[in-house]
Parts: sequence; structure tokens; C-alpha cells
Amino acid sequence: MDPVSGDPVTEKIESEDSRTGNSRAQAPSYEKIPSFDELYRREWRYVAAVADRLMIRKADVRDIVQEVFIKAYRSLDKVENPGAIRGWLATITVRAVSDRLRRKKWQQALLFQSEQLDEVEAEDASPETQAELRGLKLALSRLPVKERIAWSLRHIEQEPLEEVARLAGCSLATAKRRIAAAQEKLRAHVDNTTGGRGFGEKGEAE
Amino acid sequence: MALNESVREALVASSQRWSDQDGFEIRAGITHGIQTRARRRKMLMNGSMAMGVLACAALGISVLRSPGDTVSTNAPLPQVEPVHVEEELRPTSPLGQTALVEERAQVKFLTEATRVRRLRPSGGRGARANVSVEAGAARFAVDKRKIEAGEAPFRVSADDVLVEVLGTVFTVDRQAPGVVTVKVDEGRVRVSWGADGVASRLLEAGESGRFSKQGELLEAAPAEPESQAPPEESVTPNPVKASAPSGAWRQLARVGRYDAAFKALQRDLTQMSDVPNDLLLAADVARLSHHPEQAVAPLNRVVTHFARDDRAAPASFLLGRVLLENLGRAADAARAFAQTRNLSPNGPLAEDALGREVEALRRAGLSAEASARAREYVNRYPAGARIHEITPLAR
Repeated sequence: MDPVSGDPVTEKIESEDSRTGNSRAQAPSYEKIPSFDELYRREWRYVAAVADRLMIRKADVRDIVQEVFIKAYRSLDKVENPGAIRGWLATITVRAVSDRLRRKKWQQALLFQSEQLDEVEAEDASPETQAELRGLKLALSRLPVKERIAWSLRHIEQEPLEEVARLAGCSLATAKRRIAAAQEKLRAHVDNTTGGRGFGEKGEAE
Repeated sequence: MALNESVREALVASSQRWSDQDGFEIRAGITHGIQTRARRRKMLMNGSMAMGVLACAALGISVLRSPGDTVSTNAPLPQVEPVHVEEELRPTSPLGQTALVEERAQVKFLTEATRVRRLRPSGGRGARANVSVEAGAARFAVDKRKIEAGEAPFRVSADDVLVEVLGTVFTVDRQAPGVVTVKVDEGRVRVSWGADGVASRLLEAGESGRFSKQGELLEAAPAEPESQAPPEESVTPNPVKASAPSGAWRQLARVGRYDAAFKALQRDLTQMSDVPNDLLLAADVARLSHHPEQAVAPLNRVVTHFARDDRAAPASFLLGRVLLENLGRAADAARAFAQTRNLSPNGPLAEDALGREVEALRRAGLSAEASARAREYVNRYPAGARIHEITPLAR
């Protein structure tokens, strides 16, 4: 496994294996630790989709995917359980996204800028849903990064609370607190902008 | 449940829109990232083992030099590791294909982030390369129809030379430090050089040229400077003076002496080149020296003749502000703000441009148009910065 000395530029990006970007429930099964090339072919869409759903810009998603797989390349030989590969990639992805969002927040604070958001690409959705999605993106962009990540993992990725805590690198209680704080702020934002008819419903008891 | 399922489904669906081409380009970037880090580690190890403090410092200066800078004959050159390539055409971007034509050719695919970091060579602020030729010669074939359809520009950098593809097959050869040979087989390209990218030359099919960062054209095959239509208004840039040396007016402008810069420019308008950098600087000089009417022509020029440049949308926005706030030409301002959105529908200025378009239309007495644009604003930006001000106008 040495993608440096190989010829990745000519490598065919196989489509079928890697179209499982939806969730970890659809993770491909690995009987053994895959080669780096196979790992990329089968998982790059998943990593891109997770980063995308954590609401960063498309241009940043490409950098995140690169960063994740460069880290994966360096550490793949340390992975012992093939069944945990997608979770391992998810952890790297979440941390890479968190780092990037934190850096951006800091830069934006220095420049007195607000976060730039991509246009919503959901042509199949109704105008109302598209409007709600735009509102959600805007509201999430205004949350502290830790709360934004925790809420997104819970409600968009639909991860169990324990997994949210693991991915976010915090305790279960802290994860619950971040999700609740995010939910409260999102609700306030929705009430201010849509008269309470927005994307959020009463949150679960965390 | 705390998120409407329809919203989540739309979000999940939108997150799936990654093409095989995306995967291909990202993979190329990963390979480059791994190579770069491996090379850095190797250099660090070699340096620490083999060289003393002074030698390390000398190597550091050599490696960190800017591309195209003069290289001392005594200083060691950074080594470029050869990359095995095949002769066949391979896709590099949705706009075209690349073939690497020699064994030691090394091509880097630039992501959004690396493009932002790599400000030079830039062909001017904002005009950034998609692909960088790091070493050797690479041949590119780009689909002219997609370029003409106004899709994202395809630009190749090599040292301090930037090649903008205008629908063509061409070769970029970086054989010696600081000197780049460009050969055009089909179509045409625009080659610019230097950190500011103020100088450029159009190369047609069958022509070739050698370029360096100093703007020297070494043994270039004959090529005509790109012709430009004359501007409409009073400040007339020189259409053929594409590689003019920096004039006094630029230096005055850059230190904030706009009145003096304006006078210097008025004395000899041929000092100004017909390139976005100079046009935007001239507009600033006019505006900030309290001659806003003289800012209109250069801004118009950028918008109409350099529409594919990243600076066209900001120029159009600034034009709208000058027309609205300084000259009281509200209807013209509304058109400028509309043009801003046309040039960059999803750009950072789109929301503000639409808000100001509403304001300009209202000031121009065009109530029906103002209401229509206001409704568009409310629909597109329900949490926009001007929502409270614009919502009443949407009714």
C-alpha cells in the first residue's frame, strides 16, 4: 500500500462501492483492513457527505476529504478492527470539520465577517423545504462550533448520544448539554425569523 | 424529533451530489499532499544529518525562495522527484483533459484552499490557477464549448506565468527555473506574467513563446496583442499598453495620495493600462479624490470587458454604489446591482446587491420592479441583513 509510488492519477474512481455516502448503517463490510486505494474508492463519498452535512462549504468539503484521507493514509496500518473503519473515518472527519470551522470563526471575527454559505442545492424539495433548509444553515452557522457539531451529529446524522459524545470527543453529559443549548438557540432563531413555523420542533429530552 | 424529516431528507440528498470527477480530483490532491509531506520530512532529515547550522540556513533560503526569483549559482536547487505518467489523455477537470507529455512532468491540481494560498502567479487578484505545472512539460486539451458557455475558467500556472485557456490544446513547459514555454496547437490562450499579472499576450494556434516573471518575452513567436473595444466614457485606458511600467499615479494611489494620483493620471491617461488592476485602481483614485463621475468608465470597462474575471462582480457592485450614492443615478445603479448578481449569483455580494437593487429601484420611482425584487429578497434571504427594511416593500 503505497499511493505515492503508484499512479493514482490514472486510477479509476470506481463508483459502485463508494455511493454509500448516506449513513454509517450503510457502511461496506470489510473482512480485513483494506488497501488505501480501496479505502478511498469505497469511502470518499461517505466522508464528503458527512462533511457536507456538517454544513461547511462545498469548496471546503474537498479540502476536508483530502485532509481526512491523508491522515488515514498515515494511520491505516494502526487500525486493528476492520469493522470500525467507517467510525474511525467519521471521527477524523468530525475533528477536521471542527478544526476548520473554529479557524474560520476566528478569521471571521478578525475581519468582522459572517460565514459565507453555499446556495441550497435541493431542487427536488418544495420551496418551503428549501427555505427551511436555508434557514437551518444560517441558524447553524451562528452557533458555537461545538454546539453546532453536536446538534448536527444528533439530528442530521442521527447518531446515538453515546456516539455523538465519542465523535465530538467529550463526555455524554457534555454532549447532551451542547445539543440542548444548540436546540434552544435554533428555536430562538426560528421564532425570530419564521414566527415559529420553521425547521425545529420541540426537542427530545436530552 | 427535532428536525423536520423533509428538511433532513433534502439535506441528505444535497450531500450526495458528488461526482466521480470530484473523487478523481480530490484523489489527485491527496497524492500531492502525501508527496509534499514526504518530501518535507525527507528534506528535514537530510538537513539535520548532513548540514551544519549555516548550511541549513542556506538551504532554507534556497528552498523558500519565490518561484521565478533569481537563483544563485552557488545555492542548491530544490529537487523535484520524478512522477511516473502515462501518455494517454486523462481528465483533470470538468472543463477538459490533460496529458502529461514527459516522464519528469509534475502537475498539481489546486483546490479552492490552495488556490487562495497561491496568490502568485495570479494574473491579478482573483484570477487563480486550477492546475499548476511544477516541473517538466504538460499538454492540455480543454473543451472550447464549455469555456464559451461561461463555465469556470481553466487556468494553468507555471512559475510566475499564468496561462488562461480560451478553448484550446496547448503545452506548458517549465524546463528552467523562472522560464516557461507555452505552445498552442489549437485555439488560443492568454498568457500573463508577474505578481500583478498586469502584462499579458494572446497566443494563437501555431504560436509559441517563452515567458518569465519580469515580463520579458524571450524569443517569442509573433503574436498580436489582444485588441479591445474602446470604452464608452471619458476616462480612456490605453488598449494596447498591456505591459506598461508602474507610473507615478499608481505609486501615489498606493500611498493614499489620491488627489495627486488623479492629477498625475489626468495629465497622461495613456499611463493607465487596459487591465482590471489598473482600471480598478483608477476608479479608486477618481472616487477617493472626489471625482466619482470619473470612476464610472473604468468600472464599466471591468464589468463589460472582463466579465469572466473574479473582480467583475465587485466592480459592478462598486459601480452601483457610486451611481446611487454619489451621482444620484438610481435607475443606472439598479442595473449595476442586477449585473452584480448576474455575474456572481451565489457570490458574497449577491444578497447585498439585491437589497441595494430594491433601494435603487424605489429611489428611481420604479415601484413595481422594486416590489418584485423585494419579494425575491424575502424569498431568497428570509434571515437577510435587510429583511426588516425590505419586507414592507414586498407587499
